[in-house]
Amino acid sequence: MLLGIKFTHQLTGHFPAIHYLYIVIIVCLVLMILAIAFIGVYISIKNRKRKKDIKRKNVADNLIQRVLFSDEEQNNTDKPRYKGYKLVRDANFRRILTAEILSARKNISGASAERLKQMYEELHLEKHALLNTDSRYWHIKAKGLQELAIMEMRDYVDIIIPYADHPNELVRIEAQAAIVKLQGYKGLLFLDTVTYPVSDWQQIKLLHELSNFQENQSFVNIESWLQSANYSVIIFAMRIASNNHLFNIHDNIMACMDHEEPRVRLRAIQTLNEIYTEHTTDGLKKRFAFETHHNQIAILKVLQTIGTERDVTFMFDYLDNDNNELRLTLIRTIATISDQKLQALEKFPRIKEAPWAEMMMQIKGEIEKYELANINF
Amino acid sequence: MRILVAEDDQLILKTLEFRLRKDGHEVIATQDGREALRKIDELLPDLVITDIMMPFASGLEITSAVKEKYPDRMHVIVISGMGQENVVLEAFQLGADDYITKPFSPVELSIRVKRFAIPVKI
Repeated sequence: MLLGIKFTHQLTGHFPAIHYLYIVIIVCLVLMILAIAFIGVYISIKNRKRKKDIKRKNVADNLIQRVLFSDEEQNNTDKPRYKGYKLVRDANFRRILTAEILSARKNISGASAERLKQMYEELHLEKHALLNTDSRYWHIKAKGLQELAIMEMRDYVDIIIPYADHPNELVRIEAQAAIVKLQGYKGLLFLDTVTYPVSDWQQIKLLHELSNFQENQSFVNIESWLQSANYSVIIFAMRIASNNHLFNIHDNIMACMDHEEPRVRLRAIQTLNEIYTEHTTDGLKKRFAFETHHNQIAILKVLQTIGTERDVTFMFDYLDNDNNELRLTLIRTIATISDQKLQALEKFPRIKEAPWAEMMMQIKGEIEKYELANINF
Repeated sequence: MRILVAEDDQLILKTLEFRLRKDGHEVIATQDGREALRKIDELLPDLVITDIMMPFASGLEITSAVKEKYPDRMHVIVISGMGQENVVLEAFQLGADDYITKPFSPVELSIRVKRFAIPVKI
């Protein structure tokens, strides 16, 4: 066809548009054939790799299974491990075997899990996890740290500690979780040096890890954490104090009420609700006037639990303010802690005016409902 | 005892299968909830061990189906993950007889299974 086009071109001296179309169609066809061939080769390589991976996974599963029950198969104790030594030289097999060991470790406990850990160490898979922690890619680094934690590689905690203050948040999260998982409260020493914020979610995760450690823990560093330049460390220390009812640091927590960060002060208020003493209400009342509305409401909620009749008078000073939520919380608190209940509010001169009258009605309804529920109970 | 094990993780499934066979049980293994339901009707096992999180039909659906169709004939043990207390509670409400939490020891499971080895009413 191309020859024909060339011939026509020679005869006529010009190149008709239809011939350009032919060339475009031919080029497109060639490109399509090439693309199909490429896709075919790609799919075939992918399939071959997938099949090989399935084979590797089966071999890895068999190996793990035999190790899990190696005490019951006396004759096979050494055989699977020997096979493992040779196979882990292949990076692909190593990747699959590691993934399977980690999955099994998450699902299986007891003596079988210990044997799994032994196998992991015997095949020196932790060395590869350590290499991963050195990677320049954060996700590989995080994966390496996670792997060391799951496999409880306590000997490598010192290597993990510097990552607890890594600029990448996800690396930091994994490192902090790994240290606490491996060392419990002792691992919290990273709080001495961490400069990046420890998020609320991360704090909850760490507290969850700590709940697995039942033995008596010492909280020697908690006072210094309460003075940290990193406000999230102060908040976390207060969460620990609250969870463990550390009454001995009540005054340190009260001192946090003078912190410039409102979130620290809010956590201090909530913590004081858990470890209050006879001086707590006075400390809270003293600071009430200087607090944000949000924190004032938090103080009132604490007073609902720990306040007494003698705390009622100070609340009348704030009833005449512009914030309805605060007004309502004040009324609710007075009604909760006063011996006279709602009648105590009659001392307030504007109690019959809107919106105080409506608020009184609402609280009255709440009290009736509460009393009814208690009778039924 | 004839035991049906439904677990989507192949390695855990193989491990359970191996352990239970070693204890002398006849084991029917499946990785798919819907297939588990079909095999229960077809092979009538004495005990069903099922993971809560299963593809196509969850462990709760399996428990509910077993207890509805064969309340006196079959026992059910559910395997749950950490922090799935509410789901376990739901499984008990549906009639599950026992549960085990991941990570679990295969030996512990084996002991729990032995409790059900006593012949049940037909």
